[in-house]
Amino acid sequence: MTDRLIEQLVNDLQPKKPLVDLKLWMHCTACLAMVSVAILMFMGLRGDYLSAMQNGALFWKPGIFLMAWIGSLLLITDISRPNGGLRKEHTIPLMAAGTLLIWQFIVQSRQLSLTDMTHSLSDGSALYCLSVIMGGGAIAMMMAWKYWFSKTASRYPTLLGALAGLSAGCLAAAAYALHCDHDVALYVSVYYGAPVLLLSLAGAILGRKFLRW
Amino acid sequence: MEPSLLISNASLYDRRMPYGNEKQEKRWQALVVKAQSGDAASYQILLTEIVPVIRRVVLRSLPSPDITDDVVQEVLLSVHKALHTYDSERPFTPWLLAIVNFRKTDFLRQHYASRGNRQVPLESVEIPDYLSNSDASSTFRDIENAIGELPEKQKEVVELLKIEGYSTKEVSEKTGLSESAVKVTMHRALQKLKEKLA
Repeated sequence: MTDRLIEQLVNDLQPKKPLVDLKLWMHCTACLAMVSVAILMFMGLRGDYLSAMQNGALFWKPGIFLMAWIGSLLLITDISRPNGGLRKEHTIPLMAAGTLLIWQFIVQSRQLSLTDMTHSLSDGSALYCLSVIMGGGAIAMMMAWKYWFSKTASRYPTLLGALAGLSAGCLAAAAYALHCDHDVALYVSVYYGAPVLLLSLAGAILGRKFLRW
Repeated sequence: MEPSLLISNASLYDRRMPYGNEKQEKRWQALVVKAQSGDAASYQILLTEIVPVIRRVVLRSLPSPDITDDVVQEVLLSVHKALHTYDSERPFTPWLLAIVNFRKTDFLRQHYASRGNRQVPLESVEIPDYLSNSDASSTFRDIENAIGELPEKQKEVVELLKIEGYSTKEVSEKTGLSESAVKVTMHRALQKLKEKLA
């Protein structure tokens, strides 16, 4: 039986390009550049970019999501192969992103009252922010899925799917942060965090179903 | 059974190769790289050579040797599907063993899950002799006690070799003794056990 199976597998052999981590990085960087250019072309850079540069909002807001994006890509390359496992040091960018967000909460809590912070959540453009990040992230995830994730063989398909969603969501959020002028940390956590989490959840569900091998 | 998710810097790739040797490792690496580029002959040699390794790994933890071939075939199919994920910069054996363990765990999970619904009437349960027979039970206790009284090194060798079923070579690797020292230690331990149980 086993000999016959070997014969069938040998007959079925097709030359395949090996999975190369560098290609994922290049693909995702190209996606980030394209989404950023599209957002800058169609929506434009935030109107108050000079003051945002001075108070650091133009850096910390995209920075949080860029760090999380880099962290998720590192973890993705860790577990894309059967013999892969998460490396502790690759979780550092994700932790750094969380720390930066907490730091912003602390800094802003000295300048804004809790009422001001919660008031920012009722802004009319929140749904717009949420849907742009969700839509952009979904497109980025579909592209990466076709290009990379469908070719992986991970022992942790659910986690790999969740990381696919996380990286795509962070990519869209980092690009959109160049346009959006809402800098309250609570607003960023809720209206940027929610689509990123939703995409991660969708990725986990898809990964559980489609990344099994 | 689930492999640990978080690994340290000394990752799977750096672990000692438990099967084969460096020469064989290099040979397999060359074969798998050729197979990735579509060389059927190399692929056939590779698959044929890895079958005994897969069989040896899975045989140890399967509840019945009859299902070994099923698991071996599952592993071969997975190797075929994941062939392009092998990175030629890294050793082949850890990649293969990761697939073997993954498939074996999957297989065992399904196997035990399907057993979970099986109902066995209480009357048909066979009670082993050593549980029902007090003489046999005390004999087992005596043997356990005798092993427990052996010097530490001898006890370790007896447990690894005779209870856990490792080969002399594996015990030698685990204990740091040479293979002949393992055999001598085992011989001495058996002599002592014979004396104690006489």
